[in-house]
Parts: sequence; C-alpha cells; structure tokens
Amino acid sequence: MSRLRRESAPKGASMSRLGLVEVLWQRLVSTRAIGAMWMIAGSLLLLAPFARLPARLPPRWFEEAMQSAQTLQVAVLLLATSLPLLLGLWFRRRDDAQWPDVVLSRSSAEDATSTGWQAYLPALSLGLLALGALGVVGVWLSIQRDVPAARAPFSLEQKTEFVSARVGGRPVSLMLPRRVQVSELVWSTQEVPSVSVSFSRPGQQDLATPQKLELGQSVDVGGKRFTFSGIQEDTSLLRAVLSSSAPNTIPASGTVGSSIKLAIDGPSFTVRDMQLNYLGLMGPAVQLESEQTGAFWVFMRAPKQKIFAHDLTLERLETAPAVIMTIAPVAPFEPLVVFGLVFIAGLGLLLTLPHTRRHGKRALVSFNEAGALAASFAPARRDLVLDEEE
Amino acid sequence: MTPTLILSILTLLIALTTCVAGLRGKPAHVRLGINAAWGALVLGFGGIYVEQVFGLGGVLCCSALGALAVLPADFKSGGEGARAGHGLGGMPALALSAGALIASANTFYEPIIKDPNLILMAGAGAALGAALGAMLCATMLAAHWHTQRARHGVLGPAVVIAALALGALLLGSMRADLPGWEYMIPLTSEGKPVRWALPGVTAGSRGFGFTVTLEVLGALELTLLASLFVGAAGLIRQARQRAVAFGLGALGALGALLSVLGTGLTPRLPLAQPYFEHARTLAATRDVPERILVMGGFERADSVYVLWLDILPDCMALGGAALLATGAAYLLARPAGFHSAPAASSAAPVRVTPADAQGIMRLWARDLTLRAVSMAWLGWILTRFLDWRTHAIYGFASPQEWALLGAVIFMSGAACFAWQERSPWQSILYGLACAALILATLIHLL
Repeated sequence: MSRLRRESAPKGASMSRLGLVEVLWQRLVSTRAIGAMWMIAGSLLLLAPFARLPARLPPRWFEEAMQSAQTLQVAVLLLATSLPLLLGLWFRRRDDAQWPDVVLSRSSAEDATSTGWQAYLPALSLGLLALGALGVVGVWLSIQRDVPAARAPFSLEQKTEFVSARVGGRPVSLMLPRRVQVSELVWSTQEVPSVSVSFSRPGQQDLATPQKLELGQSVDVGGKRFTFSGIQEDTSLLRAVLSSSAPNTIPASGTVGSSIKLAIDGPSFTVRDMQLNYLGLMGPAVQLESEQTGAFWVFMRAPKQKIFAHDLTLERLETAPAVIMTIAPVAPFEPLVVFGLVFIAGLGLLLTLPHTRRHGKRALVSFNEAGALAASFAPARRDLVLDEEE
Repeated sequence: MTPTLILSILTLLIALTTCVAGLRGKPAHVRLGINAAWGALVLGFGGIYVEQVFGLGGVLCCSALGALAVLPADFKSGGEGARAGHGLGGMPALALSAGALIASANTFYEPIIKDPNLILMAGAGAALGAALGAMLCATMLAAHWHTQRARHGVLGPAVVIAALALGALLLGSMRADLPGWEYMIPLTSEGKPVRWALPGVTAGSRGFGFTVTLEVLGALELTLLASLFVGAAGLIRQARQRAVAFGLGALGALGALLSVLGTGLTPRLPLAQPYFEHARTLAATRDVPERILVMGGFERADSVYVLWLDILPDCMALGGAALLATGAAYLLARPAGFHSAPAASSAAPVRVTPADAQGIMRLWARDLTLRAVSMAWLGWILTRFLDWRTHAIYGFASPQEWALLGAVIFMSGAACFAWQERSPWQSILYGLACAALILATLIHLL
C-alpha cells in the first residue's frame, strides 16, 4: 500500500510566474499562517495588561476596566484577516484529495467514505463552535467603551450622585442619571440577600419609591443598569456597639442618626456623632443624646473608677456594610445567550457524533475520533507488522 | 466531615491513583481513575446543585476532576507516550486536588450566604482545568516522540514547568507594596489584612495605607533556579543529564514551596522603617503633614498570621511545578524514558509500523488539542455568563478578561499552527499554550 505524501507547494520558477496576491494567497492559506496570526493576536491580548502595569499597583487593578484601543485594533485585524484564510484553507483541502494530514502508513481494509448529509456534520459542528465563540468575542468587544462598567460602594441611608470609575487607568467621577439612596440591606442566612434602592431627581424625593433588588438583580434607570452585586466594609460610615453595666441590658449598635435602646423599658439614645480618636488622644468615642440626659460622650478607653454619670461603655466602633452596585450601560442579554447556545450546540455535536472521514485522507475533526481511528489502524501486535512492505 | 471535604479527599485519591498508575504504565488503573473522575465530577456538580458542596474547595475539586476526565481512557498502542501523557498530564489535577483539600479543610464551616452562581463557577473551573489537562497531555505526547531524535524534545514540558514556577513568582512579587522585587506573602490579623495606615486628617475620615507583607527568604532565588534547571533540561542531549536537570528543578520548586510554607507558619511583623519611609514618599505627593506621618503604624490585632487561602495559588503552582519536574525526571531516568524504541527506529524509511504508532499518537495529540481549545473557549464563555449572573454585564474589560481571552486565542493558534507540525516545535507550541493558560488563570488569583 502506498504511503500518502503531502504534496509540496509550488516553488521557484512556478511561484515567480504568479502575481503577488496569488503568492500571498498560496503562502497564507495554511494552518501555520493562520495559527501564527491567532498566536500573535492572543499574545497581544495576554500581555497588554503587563505593558500597562502602573508603577504602584492599586488594589483590584486586575479586576477593574482597562483600555488599550491600539492593541485591540491589531488583534481584531489579525483575527478578521484569518477568517477568509480559514475559508480558503477549507476549500483548498476539500479540493485536494491527495493531501493527507495524518501520517498513517497503513489503511484499514474497508476504507469507508461517508457520503450524504453526514459528511457535512463535522463542518457544521466546527462552524457552530466558531460562530458561537466569535459571537461571544464580539459581545465582549462591545463593552470596550470610553466609560466602562464600574463597581461602587453605596453607604446606607446616604444619597449618592456620582461614583468613581477608572477611565484610561485613571480614576474619574462618573455622574449617575439619578440620585441613588440605599435604604435597607438584608444580608443573612435566613433570607435572600436584598436591598431597597430609590432613584430620585433632585427636588423629587417624595416621589421616589424604593425598589427591592435581590443579589444579582438589576434595574435600568436613565440608560444605566444598576446591579446589586455584593457588600463590602464601609470605611466612611461607622457603627458603634454599646453596652451597659446596668442589669437586664443587652449590647446594641447604631449608626449616626439612629436610635438605640439597651433595655426594653430603658431610655432611648440618639447617636449624634462618632470619633475614631477623640481630641486626637482619647481614642474612639461616640456622642449620645436622650431627653433626660442631653448629649454626652461615651468612650471605649474608660477608666476603671467611675467618673461618668452614665453606666454605658463603648465596646467597639465597627465599620458598617456598604452595598456594592455595578453601574454599566444597558445591554441586552439575548446575544450572549444565543451565541453561547450556538457554541454549546457545536460542542455537543463534536462530543456526541464522531465522524471519521476516510476518503483518501485521514482528517480529524471531532473528539474521540483518534480512538476510533487508532482502533482501525493500530496493529494488534507491533511486531507482526514491522516489515510491512510499502 | 463536610461533603466538600469528603469530595476533596476523594478527588485527591483519584488524581494520585491515576498519576501513579500512568507513570508506572498501568492502563487498567488509569482507565479506572478516569472513569472514577467522571463519576466524582457528576457527584461534585450534584453536590453543588443541592448546596452540599460549596466554596473554593468545591470549585477546585471540579477543576481537578475536569482535568482528569478529559484524558483519554485508552490510548491504544500508546506505549511510553501513554505513560508521559497520563502520568504527567494528570499532574495539574493532582496539584488542584491538593489545593482543594487545603481549601476545604480551612473553610469547613458552611457559608453565611449560599452562592447560587457557584455551579457556573465550578463549570468554568472544570472547563479550564480540562483545557489545561488536555493541552498538557498533548504536550507530553508530542515531547515523547521528539525526545530521542531532536535536541529540544523536552522543551515543551520544560516550558510548562518554568511557567508554573514563574507564575508563582509573579503572584509573590506583585503583592509587595514596598518598592523592590522580592517574594512576599500577605499578613493577616483578626481576619483582616495587616496594613500600615496613616490616620485621617479630619476626624472620622480614614487616612491612607498599604498592605503589609512578609518577605520569604530564598523563595525568589529557588524559583528562578528551578526555572533555569528545567530550561537547561530542554537543551541537554543526554537523557540521564536531562533527568538530573529536571530533578534539580523539582528540588528548587520544592525548596521554594517549603520556604513559603515555613514563613507562613512562623509569621512576624516586618521592620517598620521601610514602611515608614515608603509612607513618607507617598505622603509627600499628597501634602500630608509630618505630624500625621509620624502617627502611622501597623494596623493589627494582637496576633498576626498568614491565611492558607492567601498563599494557596502559590503553593499549587510551586507544588505543580515540583510534581511535573519529578515526573519528567522519573520518566527520563527510566531505560526507555520519554522516548520509546519505535521512535528511535522511525528514522528509517517509512516501512516500519512504528510510524503507524506515531501517527496514531499524533492523532491523539490533535484530538487532545481540539478538546483543550474547545474546553478553553467554553471556560471563557462561562466566565462571561458568570459576569452576567453576578453583575448583569458582559464583563468589565478587565486585565483578567483580556488575559484569559488572549490565552484562549493563543491556544487556538498553537493548536492550528502545530496541526501538521512534525518537529520539536509541536511540543514547544503546546507547552507555550499551557503556559499562556496558566498565566491567565493565575492573574485571576492576583
């Protein structure tokens, strides 16, 4: 049985008679050229973040948006150029029946050739796979905007009109389409995490109705999408935990402006102010006020002997949780789902339908095909076929 | 024991069995291991679905099992190539499962908030793990048939091992807030990172500060040495010398791992002076007065420690490099080594059937690269879905997303470039594809 050999490309004199475009087409329509283009494009995307590393790395730098339009342009150009070359490769290999792409010196007795619509299933699988992947890449490229998505903390009960975003590696203030106020946060094991958010125009505070958002849910307001995506410590909003030495009392916590009670029938205190270091030397302190006592300070570093009229102690100053919301331009969900499903359909075909094509060439286009081919080509015992004549 | 911990132990056992059986050439045990990995993968996803398996441990378990399940259960006439493919191709699964066990043992409590997107995260992890396992297996197969004839035959595996070691170095060196280039690990106190902090200028406001890290003495040098040794192994001609070089590389990576663990077990606060000087430099650009500057200090509770989860990526990368280098040294030290007898005689005119064997293994390498590329794309698409589920956006266009997409495109290019390659470049290209995926994955952990 003759061994199938790869035919060499026309060279020398024959090449010199061809035009530049034809020469380029001959050279570029190859797996090597296409692979090289993809590798260059991939390297550009992979190494672009390292080329833009700041001298001092800010926290979460690798998670925030990065812009590099030139890199993207070159990468997209390379990928776009490779697509017609890939089609050319496909057609060239279809026409060239003498171009085996796997070196197998022996063929099985029955060299089955699949015909009919089944012959196109490998192409369909790969096509779906490529279409899905390219579609999702296109969807991802659509987020490369001047003002990218931003994650921002929102303190409870505070009105926010702008947040900080990173544009071109620099922090900028991003104006929100409405004034945002988070009024309630539920974050426990018993209930689904949720927040109540109200969006209001200046001067229309009374009309704003709070909307409940569960974790991962979003609301579109004024061309922006607000998504509740988590919580973090709010370093700008402190919460005081107070206790009392009086009997039948329990510790209570509160933020500035809130009221706390340490006993069921005890007095109610309003938290007026908090200081991390009172007068720069007395440590954390909280100012309380009640109708009976008026305003007074409670300290964490209290002396052992009783010098204050009250029996309260500041246990600690805690940072309160802040709600993390993602603010991004409104984008439809459907393209991502459609291209994702197309990709998964192609992958499913490759996984479930092995298509061994054996019309003179040994093409491998689906998963698990190597096993099937190996079963038909591999000698049962290596020593039995060592001297097979060519 | 929680179901997550049980699954982690099971995953480690399966990975260990498969790798050892692969290296020792026991195809029946390898087949058993791969089938068990499929079963455990179904269990893992089922456990996540019913909220019994959770956290990083669950995700790493699925990644490890994906990396095992993607391996071919039967190479058919693979010979020594099958040993390299199964034995070394299963090493990422071994490193990932060890990481899963550490994560599960350190987070044995149930999460406060159940994460409904964990199954998507595990899916992405399993797909990316499968991509790495398949591409590494292809690298080993390609290295196997070029080792004897070509000088640079084992450069592919060497690239992967060096990438793992240098990836760990990247993680360690990018944690440092102080100027300089050392291997650092972060310090924690009472569940929060230790910081060198300046008080706020106005009452109630917060000043600025930076994370306090601890230098791991010797880790930088040992990691670089490990990379150099395995790199040199790819350039040496003699198999025995190659085995020694890989062995020295393994020792270097193991030494670096031990030094990281040793420093992590005996943490202490670093000297304050460099942090004070660095704060002074930063404060100068912000017009912070000297009286505020002198109030700066370490912000911590009584005790400081190093969280296992903070250094887990380093440990997995260094451990993976040590395991791979040890496996490669073991195979090279064997009489047949990476290269089998058929590869030696295939230089003769193409009448001998060993060429068939090579052709079949080439088919397997292609099959594996096809699996790797598909799984890598699937992993990337699933990360987009994850962003959609958590933030309702296609992505942030962050460096992590750039790097992962770049790695996936690079892998596709390498598979395409080497589709008909019949030189040592095939193994090197596959190795570079593995390195790209490793780098992109580690960036996600920064």
